Amino acid sequence: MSGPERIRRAFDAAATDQRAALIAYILSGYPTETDALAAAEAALAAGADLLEVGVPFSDPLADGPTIADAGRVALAGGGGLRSAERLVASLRARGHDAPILVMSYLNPLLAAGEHETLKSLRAVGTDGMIVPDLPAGAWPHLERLAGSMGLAVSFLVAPNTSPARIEAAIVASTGFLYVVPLFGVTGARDTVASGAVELISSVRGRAAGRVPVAAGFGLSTRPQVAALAPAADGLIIGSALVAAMRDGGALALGALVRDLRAACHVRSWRHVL
Amino acid sequence: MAASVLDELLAAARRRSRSDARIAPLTELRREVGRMPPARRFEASLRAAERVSIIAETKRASPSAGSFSVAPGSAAVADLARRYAEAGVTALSVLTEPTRFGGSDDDLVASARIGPPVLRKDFVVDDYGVWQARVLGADAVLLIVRALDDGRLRRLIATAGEAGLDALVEVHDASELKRALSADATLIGINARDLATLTVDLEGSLPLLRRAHDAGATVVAESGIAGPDDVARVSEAGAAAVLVGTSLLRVGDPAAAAETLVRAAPRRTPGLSTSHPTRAAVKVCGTRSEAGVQAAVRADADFIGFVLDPTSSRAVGADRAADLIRDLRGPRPVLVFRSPSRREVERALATTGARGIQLAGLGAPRDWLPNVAGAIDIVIGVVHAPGSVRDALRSAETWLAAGATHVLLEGAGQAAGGGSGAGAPLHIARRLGRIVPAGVAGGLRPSNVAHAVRDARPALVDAASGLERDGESDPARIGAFVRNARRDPAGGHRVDRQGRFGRFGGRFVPETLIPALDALEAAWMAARRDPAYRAQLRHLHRDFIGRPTPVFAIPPRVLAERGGCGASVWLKREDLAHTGAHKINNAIGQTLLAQRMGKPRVIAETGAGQHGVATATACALLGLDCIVYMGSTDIERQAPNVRRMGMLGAEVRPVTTGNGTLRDALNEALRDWVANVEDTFYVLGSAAGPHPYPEMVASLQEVIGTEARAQLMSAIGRVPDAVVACVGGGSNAIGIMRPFLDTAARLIGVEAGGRGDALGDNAASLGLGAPGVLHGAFTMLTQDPAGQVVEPHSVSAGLDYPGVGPQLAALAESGRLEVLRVTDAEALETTTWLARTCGIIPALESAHAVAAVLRMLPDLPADAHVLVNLSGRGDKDLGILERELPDR
Repeated sequence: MSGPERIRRAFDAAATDQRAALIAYILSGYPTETDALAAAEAALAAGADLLEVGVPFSDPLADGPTIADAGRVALAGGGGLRSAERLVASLRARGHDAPILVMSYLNPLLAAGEHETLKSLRAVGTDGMIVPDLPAGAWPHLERLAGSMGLAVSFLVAPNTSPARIEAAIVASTGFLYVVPLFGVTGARDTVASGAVELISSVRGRAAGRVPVAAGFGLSTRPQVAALAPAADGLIIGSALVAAMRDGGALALGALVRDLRAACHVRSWRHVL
Repeated sequence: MAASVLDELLAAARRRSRSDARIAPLTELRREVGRMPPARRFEASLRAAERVSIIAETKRASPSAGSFSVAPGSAAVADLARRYAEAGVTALSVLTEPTRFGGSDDDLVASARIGPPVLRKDFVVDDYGVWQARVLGADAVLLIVRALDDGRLRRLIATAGEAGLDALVEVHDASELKRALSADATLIGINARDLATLTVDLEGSLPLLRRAHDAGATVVAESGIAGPDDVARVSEAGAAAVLVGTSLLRVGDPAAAAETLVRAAPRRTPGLSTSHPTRAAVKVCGTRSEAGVQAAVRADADFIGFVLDPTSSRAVGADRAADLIRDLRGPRPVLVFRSPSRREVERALATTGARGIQLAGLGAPRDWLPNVAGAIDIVIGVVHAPGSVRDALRSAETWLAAGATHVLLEGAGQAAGGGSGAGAPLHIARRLGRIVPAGVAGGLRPSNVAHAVRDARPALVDAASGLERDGESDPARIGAFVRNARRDPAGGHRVDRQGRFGRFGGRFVPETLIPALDALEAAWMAARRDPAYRAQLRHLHRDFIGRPTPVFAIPPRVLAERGGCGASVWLKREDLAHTGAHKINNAIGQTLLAQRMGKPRVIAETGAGQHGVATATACALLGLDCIVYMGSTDIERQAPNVRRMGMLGAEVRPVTTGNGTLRDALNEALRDWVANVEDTFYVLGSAAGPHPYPEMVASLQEVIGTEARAQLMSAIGRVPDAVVACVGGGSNAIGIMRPFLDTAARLIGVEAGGRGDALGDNAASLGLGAPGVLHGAFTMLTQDPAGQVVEPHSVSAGLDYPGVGPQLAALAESGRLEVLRVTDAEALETTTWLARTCGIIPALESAHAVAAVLRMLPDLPADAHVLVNLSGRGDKDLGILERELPDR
């Protein structure tokens, strides 16, 4: 099964279950490789539908202090793309078949050559990639390469993204479309940004089922998740999980996932396209 | 292999091309090649070598020998390639055929990074396979005669030439050799293995080697080489190189076996070893008037040709030529003859004082030319209407052996003495130019010379009739011809619509910033054409910044004390601009734009603080709120600037993440912009970052070079020989250099060599870095092999940046920009030196550029003029100087 197919299947299953899919972000190598594996398994056990495996980078300009600081710890411990691949490989070897996407800035993906890197990612069982500093259409060859290997690519959409570019991102995203409903970098916020629900619904409307639409950045509490769940096909929890890992280990991370997942259930008037 | 196995391999190769083309179409490959630097010279290195070259092969299996023990994954192949290279092999051969040889395209990509030239060994049968080889990093591609009909063979040899690759044309028997020679192959492989039966007959291949050699080809003996004795036998028969694969791979240590062959390689008669220039020299020919000469001087042509051939319509007498040459500065005069006698040439040289000649209408005069050539600097030998590459090569090598410094290929239909305007033989030049440097002439004019340069990469371009209007030299055409001839073939001289310079640049940023960058680009494009904006900028340049800044010649006695032999060094005094550095030029321009766009809030990043001060200054003047992000480490080491920013009303926000330096400040500024994108203008301080910043910053800093070029034309009557600047992000460098891109001046960028060359000890992204994406641009970075950016080091905060502006990366890759490094110690010493000898305290950044000039000084000729960008003053560095040099 190709990456896009596996990802779509997970979203469909969540929709059938009348809830938004929960996507858990696990920073690979944080605080150590072993811990990250425990975190990933805890998230899956707690009901995460998809995993995002983050690759720490020396210059994470789209990340706030939580992920940036954790990234530094992971790098100091030898983390990076190879370590992220090992995490994916371990999860597959241990029988987990949830969709896994690797989230990495562009530079680490280019270091060994894009063909070699993508081949290697797919070989360990990665289903897709999210590259926060790669706008749709900025590297068409990479998009085609990923497609030919069965690797999904997810592009991001922000509140100020033009309709034309939203359309471009929808067409180019073969995994899910990542809506960031706020101006800013990653990092837990207390409340949902104003206009978030409208933005996500509007983008989902435009997508019209062509690609599942997931929202992320800033989500950390049940009320926030509950507020957005009706509007989105999936919700991404990032910094909150990294903070939980930092403060309470895999146990705390698992508990948070369980808690937030419960808030993903939506009322029955949700339209399933 | 049986014919059917060969057929299978060919069919598989065709299928591969088709499926690969779906992911990377041929048009995309061609465009990519257009942005790449020239491939390494595979054929030339074999031809010029003093000993027989060993070409070592990597493969995992073969139909004849079964499997070898090379692990899967390109790392294994790269490792073997590295060990082959250390063993001293001249070139590598990499199998990319997957079905029977266990090869992969990734193997080629990885091997191409090692160092020696690389051959793509595969069953290439179409254009796609050839262009793909080039994109993957190959320098040569194998074409098997047996697999191709005559038409296709010719075509693929031509395609290889077009793609900038050498073609190794493989034959097994006499009839295949005949076909290869008819197809004008110059590099021929004699395969001692019969592809049908897989049997090897080395002895039987020797006569073929001899025949190919005698036909003028560079010959490679393939297969059946077991040891040094075999190498000796084929060498004697005329082989310049041997390609060994199986015999290396079936022993435990292939690299050691390769080394044995390398050490025992016999001597041979080498072809000429020539250096290939990184760009075309430009010759303006047929000049007869002062106006023509002046135009050539202004445009800084490399050579001016004066035609002494009396049968030419453009002839001038030797006396008239002497007059025109007398006060000539800059371009070098070349006297152009057709079928002259030795006496004629020597007399003309004596009369005119010229040190250059061009000889056409004769074969190289081996009897007298070496003597004459020994006494002058330039000898251009003309090869007229060559019929084939091999013919052209023969003539070219004869000229070069007789003392010519340049060879010029002239098109058919050239009238006596120069130019009927018939076409230059580009298709021959592009292939010949891979072996020996070759120039082109024939019908070149302003409108087609850029294309000719891109297409054929000639060593020299020459025009006469294309520069005239109504029979007279046309200064406008001369200027345009020289400028267009010097356009970077890879596109580094100008940004394209995707924001790229060559393959560098672009916009790799979070989607949130895309609308802001679009709006910025639109506002910039409108502003630069708007007379009101330009007038405002001019007024602020003159009345606020204090432009133009002077150029000051370092006193000759001062230079003499440092070993100077009379060369002049001109300092462009950007330290005298308001706020004490060139940064103000960019800050004023961008802040004015922010005001135009109605953005109330301005943010900036700063390293040494100069850009922060400049932005704070501009914001104070224009009434905008200013927030400057500065790394905590930099705040400490550049305290005076921090106080200035405060005084100017800016808010300085310390950045404590990472190492607290420029790159962390840039990250934080970008994060702020993402969060506040609607009401915030980001004044980026250098020529780095996402498009349109590199282009906009270069345009705003160009005033430095534009002024300097005019000032020097006024002071010395010509363009300087070299322009030198320090390179951190690159804004002062690109600013002073861009107006000189189309001249003959050397452009020299000086990076921070810090404490040494180890990763993390310097900030030499161009000299020691690798390509990658940082802060929105694809450029050169100091990074580790896993793609993590490594914190650079320099005593100067302003150079302490792990990236560099993408245009500088493109210019360095194409060779237009030469790159040097200067250590902390040299920069510190130079700062004190300049202060004590000239009364100017340079910024530590600028001291790097001055230090590089001091290093070059003893080797500069007496009439050389070097322009150096003194990008800033050093008051901010007094604390550092006192700390680092306590005894001074």
